[in-house]
Amino acid sequence: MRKRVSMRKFIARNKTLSIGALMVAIVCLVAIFAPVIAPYGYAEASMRDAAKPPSSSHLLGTDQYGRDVLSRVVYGTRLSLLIGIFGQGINICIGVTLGLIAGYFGSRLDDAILGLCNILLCLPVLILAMAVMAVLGPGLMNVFIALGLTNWTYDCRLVRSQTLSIREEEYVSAARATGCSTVRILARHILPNCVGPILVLTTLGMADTILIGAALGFIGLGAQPPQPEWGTMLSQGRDYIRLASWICTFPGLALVFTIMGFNLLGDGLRDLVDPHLRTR
Amino acid sequence: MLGFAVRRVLQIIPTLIILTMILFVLMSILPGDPAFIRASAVKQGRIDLEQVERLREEWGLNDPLPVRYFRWLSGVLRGDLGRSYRTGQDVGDMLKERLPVTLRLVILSMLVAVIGGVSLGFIAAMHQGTIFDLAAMFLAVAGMSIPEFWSGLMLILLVGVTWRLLPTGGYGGGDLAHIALPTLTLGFRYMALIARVTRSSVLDVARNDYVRTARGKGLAERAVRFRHILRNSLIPITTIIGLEFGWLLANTVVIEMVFGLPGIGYLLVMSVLRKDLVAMQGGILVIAAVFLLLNLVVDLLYGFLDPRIRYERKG
Repeated sequence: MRKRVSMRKFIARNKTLSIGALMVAIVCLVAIFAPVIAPYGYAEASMRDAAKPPSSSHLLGTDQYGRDVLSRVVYGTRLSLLIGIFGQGINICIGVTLGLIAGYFGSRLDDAILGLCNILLCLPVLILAMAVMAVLGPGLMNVFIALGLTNWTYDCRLVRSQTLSIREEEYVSAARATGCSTVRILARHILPNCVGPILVLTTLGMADTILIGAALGFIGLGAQPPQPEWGTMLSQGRDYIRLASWICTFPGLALVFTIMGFNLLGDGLRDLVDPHLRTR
Repeated sequence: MLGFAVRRVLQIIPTLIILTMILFVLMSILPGDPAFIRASAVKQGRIDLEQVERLREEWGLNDPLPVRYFRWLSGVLRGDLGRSYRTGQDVGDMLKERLPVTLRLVILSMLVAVIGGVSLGFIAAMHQGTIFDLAAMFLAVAGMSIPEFWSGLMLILLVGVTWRLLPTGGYGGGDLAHIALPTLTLGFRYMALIARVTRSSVLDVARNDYVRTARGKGLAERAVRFRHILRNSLIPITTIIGLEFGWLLANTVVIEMVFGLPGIGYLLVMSVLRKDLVAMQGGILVIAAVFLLLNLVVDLLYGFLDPRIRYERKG
């Protein structure tokens, strides 16, 4: 029987999880209510106010085109979350499908899929994503695709190994004996057992995906100006770092906050889902 | 041990071949005709279609894809990576010029990260629950969440611009002053990860019975810590060093952009932005080769650290 735990006790017991969840919730709220929070539009420029330090009218200062840095950082939350959600969404679709196929059918299909994973793992994701971006061309939409296509190997290998072990369980044999179709067995009996670990992996993956998406923006291959993507903002503000350091400082802080939130939430979830992995 | 090493080396070859195939196909569907780009780069404004056709013929771009692939592969095997479509420079030479910069950066960062991370994690574990432990672990979480391109910029701002201690960018012949900031920036995340894994691995090992036995038989604490605990916790540490090396290697790209270092990563970004196919292929191939090589070293280290692995993988 499940013991009922009060909210306060739960938070005290899962500090990492709670702090991470709070940080992620803040990021999500800022993204949803961006137009309410941001005092100006993200592309509203006035050359008269170019590169002004933080003041009462522009809390975080203005950038080289006189755009309000706070507003741009706030709207940037949306883009970074979108990169994470779409990138990880595509990853899950590809990874889970291939993982289920590899694990359940085994033999040649398994060899082929695992081989593909191993080849993709020969190159760091950032480099692979750069190669895909070279083909697709720069742009936010292409960042989603590039990250989605290159980062699914972890999902795939996780689902595969889970499937391999669950495949031999008696309830799977029973389902097969009662005449369930293969798709039904995979969807109703095997996949639900992978949900916990996938959730953990996806939360941690959000942090990585957002980071790599911003890195692509920083090297000029990701979202293009004037989109207020944090990495792109950093690369744009880099030339002004001596004169107007606030252009670079605040988008970076927002990025750190977001990534740290997802990392903490992922660590906390892992402790909750799989207590064996708990790092003391 | 030798058999294990040879088997492991042979496994790399098919992987590299398939990887080059995928890369080649990917690059061949890249929009933009290189001959066209070159012709327009040579002659500003007007493009001579006859010259475009001549270039296509000269570079063999009219041949079918498999023919081009095998021609490129046989060139690579002879050490000829081709010439840049854009500048006509030999890509092998371009890479040779830039490889030392990247390698120096990678090796120095790794040294800093491994030494710093293992000591930090080990000390934190030995003083579990103290303020030092907490501080070290906070540093580890922070290190994993701070993007290198931002921490690099902030270091430039603080150390280079405000304090004027070190140069803010450029390679300057590779002296320590120029490479110090990039090394620290690049190594920080790696160090954080290593510290985290070291700490948990050391704590795991320290609970073992043989550690209690070693203490019980009156062994000096120093010997227990280094010979029994640290040595046995090295396997997960080696794993994380190998696993996350890719991140380190990939982030040389970002670091070289931040600090303006003329390395492979800088070349790669420039060739991607300029659609310089041949240079891009060369750069990616070199990065893959370095990555595979290091993974090989890590695997061999496993065999060395834990003799059981050598026998398990046989047969």
